[in-house]
Amino acid sequence: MDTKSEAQIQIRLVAKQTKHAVPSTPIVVPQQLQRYGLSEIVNHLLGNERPVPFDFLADGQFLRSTISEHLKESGSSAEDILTLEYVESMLPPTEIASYSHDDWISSVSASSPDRFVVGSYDGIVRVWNAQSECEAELQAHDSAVKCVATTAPGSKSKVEFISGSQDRTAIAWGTKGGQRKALYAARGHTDSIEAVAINPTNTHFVTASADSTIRFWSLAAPKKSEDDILEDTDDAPVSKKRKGAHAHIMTKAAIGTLSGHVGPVTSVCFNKDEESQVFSGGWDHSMRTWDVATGVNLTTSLCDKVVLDVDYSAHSRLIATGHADRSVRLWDPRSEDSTVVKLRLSSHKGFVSSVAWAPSSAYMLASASHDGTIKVWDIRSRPPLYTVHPTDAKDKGKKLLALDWHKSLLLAGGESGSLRIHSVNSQYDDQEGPAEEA
Amino acid sequence: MAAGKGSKKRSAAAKSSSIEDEFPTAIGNIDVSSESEYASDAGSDADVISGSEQNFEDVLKAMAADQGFEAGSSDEKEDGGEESEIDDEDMRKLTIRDFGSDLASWKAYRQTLPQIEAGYASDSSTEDTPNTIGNVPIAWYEDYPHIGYTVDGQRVMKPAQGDELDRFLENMDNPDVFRTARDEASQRDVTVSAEEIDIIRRIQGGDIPDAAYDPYAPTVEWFTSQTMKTPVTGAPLTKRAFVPSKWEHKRVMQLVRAIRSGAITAPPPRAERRLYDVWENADAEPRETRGRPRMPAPRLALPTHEESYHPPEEYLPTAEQRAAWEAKDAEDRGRAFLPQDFGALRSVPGYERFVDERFARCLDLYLAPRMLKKKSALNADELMPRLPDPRDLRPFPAAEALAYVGHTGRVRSISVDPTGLWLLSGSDDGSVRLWELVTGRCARVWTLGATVHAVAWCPSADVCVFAAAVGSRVVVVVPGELCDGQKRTVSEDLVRAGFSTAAAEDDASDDALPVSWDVPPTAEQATGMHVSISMHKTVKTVAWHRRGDYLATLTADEGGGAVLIHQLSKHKSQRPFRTLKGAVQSIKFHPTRPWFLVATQRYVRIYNLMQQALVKTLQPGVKWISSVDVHPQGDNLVVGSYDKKLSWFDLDLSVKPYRSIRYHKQAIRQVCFSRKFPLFATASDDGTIQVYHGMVYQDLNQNPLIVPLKILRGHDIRNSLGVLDCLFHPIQPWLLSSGADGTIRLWT
Repeated sequence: MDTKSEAQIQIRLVAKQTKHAVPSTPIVVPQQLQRYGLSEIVNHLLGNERPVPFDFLADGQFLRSTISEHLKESGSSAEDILTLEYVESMLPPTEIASYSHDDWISSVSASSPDRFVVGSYDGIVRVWNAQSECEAELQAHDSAVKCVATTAPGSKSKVEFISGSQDRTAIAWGTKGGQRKALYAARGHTDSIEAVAINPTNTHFVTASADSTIRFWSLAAPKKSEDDILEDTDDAPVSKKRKGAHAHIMTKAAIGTLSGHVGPVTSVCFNKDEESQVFSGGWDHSMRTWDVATGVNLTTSLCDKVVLDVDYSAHSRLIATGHADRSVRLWDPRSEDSTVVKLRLSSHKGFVSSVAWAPSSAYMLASASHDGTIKVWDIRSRPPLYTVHPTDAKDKGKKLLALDWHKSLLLAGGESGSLRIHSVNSQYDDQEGPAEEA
Repeated sequence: MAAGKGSKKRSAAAKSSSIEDEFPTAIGNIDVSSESEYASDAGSDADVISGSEQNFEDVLKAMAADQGFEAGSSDEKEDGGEESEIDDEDMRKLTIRDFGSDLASWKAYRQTLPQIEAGYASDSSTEDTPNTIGNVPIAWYEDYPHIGYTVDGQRVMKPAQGDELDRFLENMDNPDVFRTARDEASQRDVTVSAEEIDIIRRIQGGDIPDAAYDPYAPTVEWFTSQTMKTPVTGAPLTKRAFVPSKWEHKRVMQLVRAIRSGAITAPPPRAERRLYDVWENADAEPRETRGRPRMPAPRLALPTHEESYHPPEEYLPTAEQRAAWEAKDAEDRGRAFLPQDFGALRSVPGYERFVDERFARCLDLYLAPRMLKKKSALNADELMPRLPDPRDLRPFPAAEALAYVGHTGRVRSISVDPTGLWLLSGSDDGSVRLWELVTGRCARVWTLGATVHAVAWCPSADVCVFAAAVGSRVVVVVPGELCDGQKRTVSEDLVRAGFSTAAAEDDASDDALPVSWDVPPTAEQATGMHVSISMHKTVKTVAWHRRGDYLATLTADEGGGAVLIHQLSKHKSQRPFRTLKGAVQSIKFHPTRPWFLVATQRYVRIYNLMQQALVKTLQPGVKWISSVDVHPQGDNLVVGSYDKKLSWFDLDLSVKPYRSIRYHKQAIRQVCFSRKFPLFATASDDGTIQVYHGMVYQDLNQNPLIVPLKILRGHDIRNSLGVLDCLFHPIQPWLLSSGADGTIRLWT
């Protein structure tokens, strides 16, 4: 045991962040060192007065144990020089605010660090700012709001965000005459709208519904109500019924319908690199790629488990899905072979209701689960980086249903009705992703 | 003969002085015939009595000179001697063969040969007095000229004797007179030599007579006086040691001759003795002896390094090991000794446990089994049915995913809508709740005011309708917010259509049925309740036909009135059975055939509704049936009972159960099949749900495969009631269960 603890190894430290670079000459360190000891060494080499925590990557995987254990696992020799890449550690997310709601939060989306749109089961869409003020409470849905999506910043469109509801409509909201109001209602789905996504250039959006279809809409407000289009088809009684509180809202009809899912579609997202591509997941255990322009189902990948949420990262070009089997799966949409599931991350103890990629990292993603925790993952490491438990006792064990990662903010909400806002240290902006390498 | 002649010569010489006539021939004979042969006698005489012999020679010479021819003969003799010396080399070459038959000349030649000096001068052993008269007084021969006789009978003449004067003169002249004595036997004077005097003196002095003998010569040690480890002898070898034994040679030759002559012949060859290897078959298979296999004795274990008298160092115990060994009890020690190093085998002392171990070995042998006992080759694993690994039978519900919390009473019944998104539950707290299945969100609550015994979604995909048994009535509800406008309209139309038709036919219908189709109060209508079917007794069960138009109810009535079938579209009710034996426990529409199942307390009866006939009566062999469910393909059904038993029936096979399973510890409340997966589950009062794999094959010859998969625990037991209802999700391999603890749980 003594000899083992005294065993040493030559390592070469490499940094991609130039401000933290150290000389690349190999140094000899004990094999029993872990992340903390290595971090101390780097800080010492850099001469930092305030130590900066670092994480270390060996062969593209985070070092989570001692160097000797890593060598044993990877089967490499202690004689060789081990190259360790180090990056600044992500600090644990800290809860900075919690906004309370009366009812369950079903969805959350942040358009800017100062504006959060929250959809709730009481059918109200609320707009919050960073000062914990509820800017608006918007009520136009007859039933629970299931999803919200905000337009990307710099939008020329009037639409600020879109909400989808169990009342089978999606309503686009915008500021009109200095007041935030419903611009139009997208009607056509025959069952609850489960997900909505706006494309990065703010021209179109898609909605996924429990009626097993995905519909494709233009974001622009219609000149006039398109009820007639719907009435031509099959929805005549609905328009009659709608004579009521929200009759003034213009109706918008879908451009196209993507049908192929066998069962409810639970989630949809745009391919941020390719505008016309949409990824969707549903109860039929499939993850499908669609071309919205032509309405063609490009690929279908099966995984045996219900897909609850889908998110695509432009940096890593991977799709993350949350599943009913308590795991997060990563898919490579470009690969053709059947084993498209690249990685399965399992640590949650309940349905993974929502996943979100870090907006500026190729490796980081967060997932929210019914077990009430948010987990932050780095795909280079199997176990999660951080598990964020609710700080408030009343939130403990309450299901989380919504998650959004906007810049350095991680927003989550669910059964408890409190919108939990976490700060993620923005220093961890790893620009060196595969997207750039490719 | 020769000696006789010699003595004759001497006597002749001695007598020559007295009787001259007889002598010449005699002397001549002596000289010619045997000069060489008597030399020894002459020598010996000279040795012993040399003094007197000298005298005789002188006398003889004088006599020869007197006779005249004596000289001639001596000349002749000398001539011969000279000749022989001259022709020595030539003469030597002549042998008797050279003479042939002429012996006389050979004899003559021989006399010319030189005399051979035999070398007997020192030998006195042959000295013998020629006189043979014995021990008689010599005085008897005083008067005779002789003094005795030789062995040949010849006279031995008296030597010439001088007178007294001669003797005196001689004594005067002779310096050795004092050493001279008279030998009467031979009548001669004998002079004793100085050596003889010395010997006489030694004898008289008691010394060793031999003057040359040295009694103090150093000892020759044939055997050393010192003590040696390997003593050697310095003794000279005997002759026998290096000469071949004559007697052995003789004996060998005797044998050789005997062998040659055939007296000794070789013995007949002996038959070779066969040697048996006792251990030849020691390692072979035990022989069969009279049908019973012989059992070899148990073998001793081979010794190991530890038992060596000089084991390698690593086998020697350390001090701690030794202490630990000694601290243990004898039976815990493992081995009865500690390895010891003795260095050499000769240092090994006696083994003190030897007798113990021999005795133990003897006991082992004595108590060893003598017979092989045939063990049954069966093992328990082989007797067990070969079931596939549950891991290969995935997916099946294995863990709790969600709990739907909200009910305050027992949740008696649950139902999932055909799309699988919504869950309905009816509870003792008088409410029906609608849940969003994935999130567990309670979307709606209908408070109905009475115990809800059953809820059931209409299985038709076209409509969105459910029925709930509330107290003694059944309400039909259209939950409007779940469906779009068109479906809602269709549903509402379907539910309400009957009012008009029923009103028209109402009078014509048989009023005997205690059923009334009512329009619920307005407040209830706002919540989606459109029809209320009232009956006299509490409604226990609601079962939909797969088409969604017919609805069967089971009330607490006795007899045939308990089971009613209602047609929703026409608001008509009918009583299919006029009489029913036993208390009905459960009713079910068959999923594929126009059959209707009625489970009474003991039997399950299957009726054909179209032919109005009994198809089959199943006998589960249980005391109290609780529930029944039909496999979606229609050929199999399971029956759960309050006596913990689950029975699987193959309808094509028999009216007796194909398989009976009793795994629950308490009564089974509910059994259910999955519509999509080969799964079924049982819910029990012991708070568990057991999930089984129940595969029905298309091949009719293959029996269904039933594999227990999982026991799901989670529900609390309240008042000895556990899980009251269970249900598979219509699309996913998920299970929903409701319990007496007021919760509903989703298992995935």
